[in-house]
Amino acid sequence: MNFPVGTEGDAITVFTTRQDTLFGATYMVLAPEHELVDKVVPAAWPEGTHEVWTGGHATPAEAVAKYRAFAASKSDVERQADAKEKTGVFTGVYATNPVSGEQVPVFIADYVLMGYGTGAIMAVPAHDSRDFAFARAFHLPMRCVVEPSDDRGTDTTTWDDAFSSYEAKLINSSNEEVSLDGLDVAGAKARITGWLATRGIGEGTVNFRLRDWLFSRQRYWGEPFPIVYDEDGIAHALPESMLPLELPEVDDYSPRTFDPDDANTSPETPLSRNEDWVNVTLDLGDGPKKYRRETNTMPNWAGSCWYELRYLDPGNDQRLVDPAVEQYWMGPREGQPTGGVDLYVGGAEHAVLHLLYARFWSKILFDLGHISSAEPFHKLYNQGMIQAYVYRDSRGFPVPAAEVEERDGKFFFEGEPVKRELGKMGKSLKNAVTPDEICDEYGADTLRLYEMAMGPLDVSRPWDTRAVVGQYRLLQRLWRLIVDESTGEVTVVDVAEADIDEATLRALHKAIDGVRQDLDGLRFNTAIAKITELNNHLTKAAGPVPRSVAERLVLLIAPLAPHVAEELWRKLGHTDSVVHQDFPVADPAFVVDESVTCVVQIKGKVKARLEVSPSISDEELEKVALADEKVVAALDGAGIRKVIVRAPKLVNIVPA
Amino acid sequence: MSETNSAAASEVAAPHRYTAALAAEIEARWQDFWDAEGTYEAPNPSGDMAARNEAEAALAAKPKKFIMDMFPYPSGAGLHVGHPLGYIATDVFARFQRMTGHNVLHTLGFDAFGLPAEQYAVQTGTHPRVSTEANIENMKAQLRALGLGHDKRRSFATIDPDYYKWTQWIFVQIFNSWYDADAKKARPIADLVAQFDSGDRAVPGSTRAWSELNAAERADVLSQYRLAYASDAPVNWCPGLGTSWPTRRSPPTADPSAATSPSSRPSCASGTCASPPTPTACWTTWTRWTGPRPSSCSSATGSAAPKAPA
Repeated sequence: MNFPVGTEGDAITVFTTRQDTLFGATYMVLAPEHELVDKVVPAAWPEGTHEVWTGGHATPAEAVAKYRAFAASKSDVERQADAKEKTGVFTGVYATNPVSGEQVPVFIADYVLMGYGTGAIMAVPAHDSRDFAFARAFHLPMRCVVEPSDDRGTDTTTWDDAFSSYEAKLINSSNEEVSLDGLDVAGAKARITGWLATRGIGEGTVNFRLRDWLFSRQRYWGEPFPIVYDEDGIAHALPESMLPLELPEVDDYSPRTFDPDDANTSPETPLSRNEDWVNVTLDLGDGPKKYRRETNTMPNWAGSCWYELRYLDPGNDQRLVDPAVEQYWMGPREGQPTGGVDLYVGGAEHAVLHLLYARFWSKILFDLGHISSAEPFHKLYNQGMIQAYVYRDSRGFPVPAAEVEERDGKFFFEGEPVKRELGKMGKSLKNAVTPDEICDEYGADTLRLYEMAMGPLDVSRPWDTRAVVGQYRLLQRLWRLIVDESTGEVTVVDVAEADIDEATLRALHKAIDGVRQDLDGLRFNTAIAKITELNNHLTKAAGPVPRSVAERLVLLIAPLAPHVAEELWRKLGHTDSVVHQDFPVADPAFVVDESVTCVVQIKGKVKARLEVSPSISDEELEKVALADEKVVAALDGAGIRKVIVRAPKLVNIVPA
Repeated sequence: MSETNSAAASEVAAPHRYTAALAAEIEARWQDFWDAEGTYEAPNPSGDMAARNEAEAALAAKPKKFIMDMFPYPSGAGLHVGHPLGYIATDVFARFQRMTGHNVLHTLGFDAFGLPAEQYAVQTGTHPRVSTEANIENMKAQLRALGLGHDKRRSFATIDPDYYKWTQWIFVQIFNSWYDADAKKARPIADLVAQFDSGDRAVPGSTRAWSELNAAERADVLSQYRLAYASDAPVNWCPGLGTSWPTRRSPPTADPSAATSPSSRPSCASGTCASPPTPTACWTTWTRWTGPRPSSCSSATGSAAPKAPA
């Protein structure tokens, strides 16, 4: 977007990701080398210029020249490293904030680099920490335009740092044509971008913050490069017939080390020490010649850039992947125009680099015609993390979590008080619990159920070994519904569907309907809750369970607890595996509630509850409500001004 | 005491109760059954994994679902209960998809190159392959005990030469490609050579024709177009450790245990990790698709973190 500056129609163009905070832009900063500086610097300081802004110089031109010399003496690295100490100087000129019309001072400062973005920024000190520090140092105004969600208030003079969270609403952000007040950050961005575009002041753009990818490592344990250099130093790729180029044996796996202060050294790779491997005579098509092998290896990331393709056709030694096989598993289809893996699940920590690299390789393979999917992954899902309590002693060292005792809400290890905090799980934190331990104590099916029941899959959750037993009990009750604990005999009875009591059929079909939707939507915790509810219903019913109900219950839990499901399926008389059975389908007639509770309010207070059909009409519900004894009594003969009906759950009566 | 007694008494009264011992017996038996029957093997439409019988042919005729986890690094520490959260979730989802009419591909490999095995090798002399393969076996046993329905025929490790043959092959494809900004796609470098040769495209930085350039000059020109290219890039170089490391990362550490200890940041002997970035022969690949490739690859390793736009 453009900020008009000077008298000759010039404008400072900035790139920003926080256009929503435009009303809070109270000054601007150009890189010292910015070309506009010379053009706009005035002959004298404007009246009332704060002395901190001038750096003690007599004229803006002098200040700019001195500051440039100072900045030029530092490298970009130093300029970034000195981030804490804010330096800069006023150019003597003001720009116009395009949305508020305010005059904002234009500074030059070395924390803005010419080689990045446009070499100019709009500074929003209330909502950017670097701008905040600069503004404090130079007594520049701040305006809060994003309402802090913590308890600091909107008076920026009392703040210790910028408020930069996206989880908040816009304030103080309106002019005669556009208002962002009350919008969230995303909504405000969209609205202001649209406004700027229609006014020709700015436009939305996508800025890829991509850099070239340094792809070699001076390591042993990686893929060797299939590259050799000829006697002129020209790199040649090895033909497919010479692949794989296997990692050679070496005597020493470590890179050579040098005097730490000797900068005039350069990496010596482990592979370079195997001279017999490095220097080879090869025929690359124009007769045998001497070559020298590349001795760097590929980075860790290389192997994960294309592994989805190898799963499809893992034994293929003739080509990367058979095209028919690749098209079957990953090719584009309806609803998936770019093809790819249907569902890819992993931690958010890999969301940037691995996915970027994998897409890069995939796109090249697609462009060259080796694969039919333009994207490797159709849908990505980041699961949450299992956290664990870390207990630390008075010195801050973790103590074995399993040996900590809890007394009256306090925690002790070997009699000494310890502090509890929620953190990661790991050996070094002495709080790791292994799946093997839980399998030994309860079984794998219990562990599976517990992990899936802990909460929504995308939310991090604390591990609690003591809570695992809850899912163990669920499996015990399920088992007991079907198997006699003293004889081992199956206790189910054959009952015709029509003879099963309606309450059981309703519980069954509601569970089937809910579990189906939940499993499809990766909502495993709520699926388990619904299975538990059905299990409890059948336990309470206390009689032998109809075979068809027991079978469907087993099928419902089969994806979650496959071993016990296989065992019960076998006990119920089946000779095949439960794995490829059809998942139960709900009968819609039993899914709908037969009645729902309707609340009747008079003047906003609940006066009666009615059991009504879920499909009751507004008119019918109004009639039933007005005829209800309690309602009649509560109205006590008063007339009615208005009845608001939201069938089937609410009737609101406003008396005259 | 009394609790233990009553628990023991009820065990006697209920010899067929679902207990940890019974669960262990059931689980081991079904895991063996699934392996023996190949229950989770998903047929391909053709080739060496095509349907072997009628049941598999019926499966192959169904709509497919390809469900995948981010594969693990086979750490020597093995798994804790936090690791399998995603694997269990995809397994439940995959099983549900199998029961709703899909041919499901679900398996798990190992991302097995990596620094820990190399550091262990430096310390103990054990070949990284030996320790890595032992870790893989250990992890496979742990995962098997969870009852995950993986097509085990399809598992592999990235350190298998059969696998990294193709990693290398893809690298060669990238090396032998250039980005055609007009077509907005990667194309074989041979197409570019043909353009230079025919004169359809001028040789950059030269008034001479392609046929007048010698091999080294041609290689230099092509190097400016290749999607993977070697160049002298400034990297952060630490003589004390004998390693360099890429952009914006902490220096590596010689002591693997130090990496996990919050109090000791990795550092070089002198405290500052050397010297300004040092030009070193590096392989770089070009991930940018939106503009011309810079003439120097210094941006690949730029060590400054510029101010993010406000």
